[in-house]
Amino acid sequence: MPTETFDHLITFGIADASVPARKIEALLAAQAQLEVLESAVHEAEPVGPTLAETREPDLGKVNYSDTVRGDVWDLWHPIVANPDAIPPTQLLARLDATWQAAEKKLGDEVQTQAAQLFTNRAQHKAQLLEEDAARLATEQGLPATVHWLETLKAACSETRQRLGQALATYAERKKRHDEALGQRKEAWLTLLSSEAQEMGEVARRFLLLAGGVLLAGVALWFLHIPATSLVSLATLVLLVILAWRTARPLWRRLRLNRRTTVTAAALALAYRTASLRNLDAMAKRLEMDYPETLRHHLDRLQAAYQERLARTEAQCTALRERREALQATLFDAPPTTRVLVQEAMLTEWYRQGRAQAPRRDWRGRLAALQPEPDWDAMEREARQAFAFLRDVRAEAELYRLYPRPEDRLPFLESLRDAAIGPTPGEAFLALDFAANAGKPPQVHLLVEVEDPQTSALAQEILQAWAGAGVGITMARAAEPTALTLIGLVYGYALEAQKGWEDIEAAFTTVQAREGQGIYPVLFPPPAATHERQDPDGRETERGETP
Amino acid sequence: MTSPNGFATDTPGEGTLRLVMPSAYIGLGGYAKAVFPRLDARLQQHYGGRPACLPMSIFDFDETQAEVTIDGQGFSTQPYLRALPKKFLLDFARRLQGKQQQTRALQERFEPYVDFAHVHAVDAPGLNLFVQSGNLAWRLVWEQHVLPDLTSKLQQLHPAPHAQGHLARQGLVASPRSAIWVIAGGGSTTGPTGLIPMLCELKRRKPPQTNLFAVVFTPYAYRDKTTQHQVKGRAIFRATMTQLLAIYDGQEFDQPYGSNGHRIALHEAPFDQLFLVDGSLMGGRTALNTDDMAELVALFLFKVAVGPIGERLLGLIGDLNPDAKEANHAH
Repeated sequence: MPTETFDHLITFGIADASVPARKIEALLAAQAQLEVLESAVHEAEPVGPTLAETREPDLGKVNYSDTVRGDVWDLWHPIVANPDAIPPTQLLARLDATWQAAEKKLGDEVQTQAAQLFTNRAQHKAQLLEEDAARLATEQGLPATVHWLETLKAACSETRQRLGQALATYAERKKRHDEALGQRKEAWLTLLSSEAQEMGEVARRFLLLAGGVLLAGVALWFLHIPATSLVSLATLVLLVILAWRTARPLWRRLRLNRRTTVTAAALALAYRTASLRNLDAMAKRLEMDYPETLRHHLDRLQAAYQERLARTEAQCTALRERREALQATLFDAPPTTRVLVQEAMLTEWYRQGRAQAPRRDWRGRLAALQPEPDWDAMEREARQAFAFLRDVRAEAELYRLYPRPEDRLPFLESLRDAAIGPTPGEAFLALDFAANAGKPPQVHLLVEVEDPQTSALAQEILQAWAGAGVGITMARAAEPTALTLIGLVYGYALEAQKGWEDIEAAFTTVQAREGQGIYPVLFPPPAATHERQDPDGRETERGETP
Repeated sequence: MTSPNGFATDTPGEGTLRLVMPSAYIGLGGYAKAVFPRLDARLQQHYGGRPACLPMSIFDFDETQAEVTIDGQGFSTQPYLRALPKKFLLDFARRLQGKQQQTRALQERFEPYVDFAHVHAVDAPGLNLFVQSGNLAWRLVWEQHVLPDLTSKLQQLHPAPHAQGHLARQGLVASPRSAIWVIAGGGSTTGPTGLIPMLCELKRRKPPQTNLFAVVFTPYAYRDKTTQHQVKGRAIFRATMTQLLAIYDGQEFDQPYGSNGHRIALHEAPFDQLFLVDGSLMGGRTALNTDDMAELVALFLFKVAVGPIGERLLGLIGDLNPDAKEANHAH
């Protein structure tokens, strides 16, 4: 080799003592998230309101009674309040007409409206239950919420069963009401018929009486019988008796009018009751459907929480695996790196970061069904909470671990040995100093410290290592979490590499087999060398493409 | 602070600018695939995304991607692996037998520079320790697949004023010095056969005030390879170093690297410093495994790029190497 010095051949060694801040940050961030997630999936018995205790939507007050039932009631009210106002012969027709009008009010449109009221009510109720569920999930966890929703579903089933039984009694009531209505109608018709007969009798007797009076008067006048005669008196007595007999059906007629009024009122009431019974039966059926609709909502809500629970558990598993992987590799590092971590500091850092993590917010996000929890965002926030670790100072940790100089210096020397070797010059390349043309290689050590001007550690290092034949340069560290030593070894011959004789032997063997083919580029003999071309490195003639 | 890509960054307090030394990382062959994802992870974690002035490229004839997972985050070579096509080599080797005119013209162009008798194109990933296959393959793909990428990467080393402003808005301040790091394995094919033209090309194209370093893993870093591979690897390493140091010592390098006439010509040292690494510790009494070694090389490159220690290191090296010293004085 024509080179007399070998400054262009160099090698390095690097050693550092570092706080694996990023790994600890990831570990503690995973731990903080896991703590919240595990509390959210923790099994617990729910302590929540019963279905009856849960809030009802305002819509519940605006139920069918105030709308549809009120309208039907208003239809019947004038008839029921004053049945005398209607001529008895027209009463039945009016009642039937009102019945038809009431039935019309209960037509498809009204029934749809009433059903919609209950549907809306169920939806609003479901929203309220969702809010309650989210609150419960935040306070008691996801499994408790799933169980609570199960109890609400059971309550819905019970309510529906109970309403079903109540509806069954409506059939009997309908039968009773129909019978009563039939009897009332029959009584009314009978009453109307007897009233007509009474009227005929009264008229007949009145005509007879009038005829008798007229006949007696003509006879007395024709026979010239004085009014004060015995015959006249006898005739008068006879006529009075006839008048008495004639007036008796009239009295009965007066009594009949009162019966008619009472019967008409009873009939009108019977009509109204039967009419409203149909409405109430419809409402009862809707009421019975309501818990069923609500149960469907609860089913959906419960399924959503079960899915959330499953996803949260899966995330727990992922975080647990990550935590274990990080824990297992926390102290993993290349042989020349010393990891500065104290168990007590880990606990302290966790406490510090945990206090900054938005744990309550995470819990709320886990409990709310919308939107889906963003695990990446949670990870970022967790990392942010522990970001202070990136400012942990390696020097401070070193002093904490090795407070006494007599312990600290051996540790630093172990780093130095890793960077340049116990015998300076042993970096990441094994060198045989004896083969270095009699010249020892040069060794320089660059040390990263927090602040070269003020660092006590820098002073300690300079005091301990200066003047030992190794150049030392102090430089400010780019990252406070690491204390780095870089060893440079230069000024060695290529042949000074340990095992060079093996390299030479291999070269000789392969060259014997391949000749110059072993060289990565071939230098042609001078005659074959191209002349220098233009400065941009291109030949004047362009060749072919392969 | 959280970066747009979701990383929590190591941003210091408001108003504090963080140093970045513009550095281009060029990897050749498989070993760079172990180092670069780790380096990329460190840079992204530190800056919340790798700044444009820290470009990376790995050139390899094996398109296999590599990925490492750090703190639960995957880092792949996918964004910067430039898989070089073997098709040109395979076609050329096939046509060599047919003596086609087009092939003959290329053959004549490369004749003194390639030992065609030892070109063995195998339809398998990589170059399979056939050195002349590598020697030819690089020449066939250089102009279309290597040079454009190198040119764009070098342009990013000295950010334009508007890019400087962009860096400042990111809380970064760029060092006036920059570095190019070429990382190659010495005991394989792709690295050694690409190393010499790569260093020569970079040296002649690099911006001023830019140091060019090579980190070469010696055959002893390949501890898990077969004996046969190791023997061939040692021979290739020895041949590569011999030629590289010969160029450093004055051998002129002027060779065709392109089917359209591109040549790489260099009349100076092809690098400022050549780092040799075999993963030994304590003078060979113990050794690093591949992952640890890649981690430590990545850590070294990271420290040089992100902190004042990089400036100090370049200053120190500048005292060793006249070219670097010149750059130092210019600074």
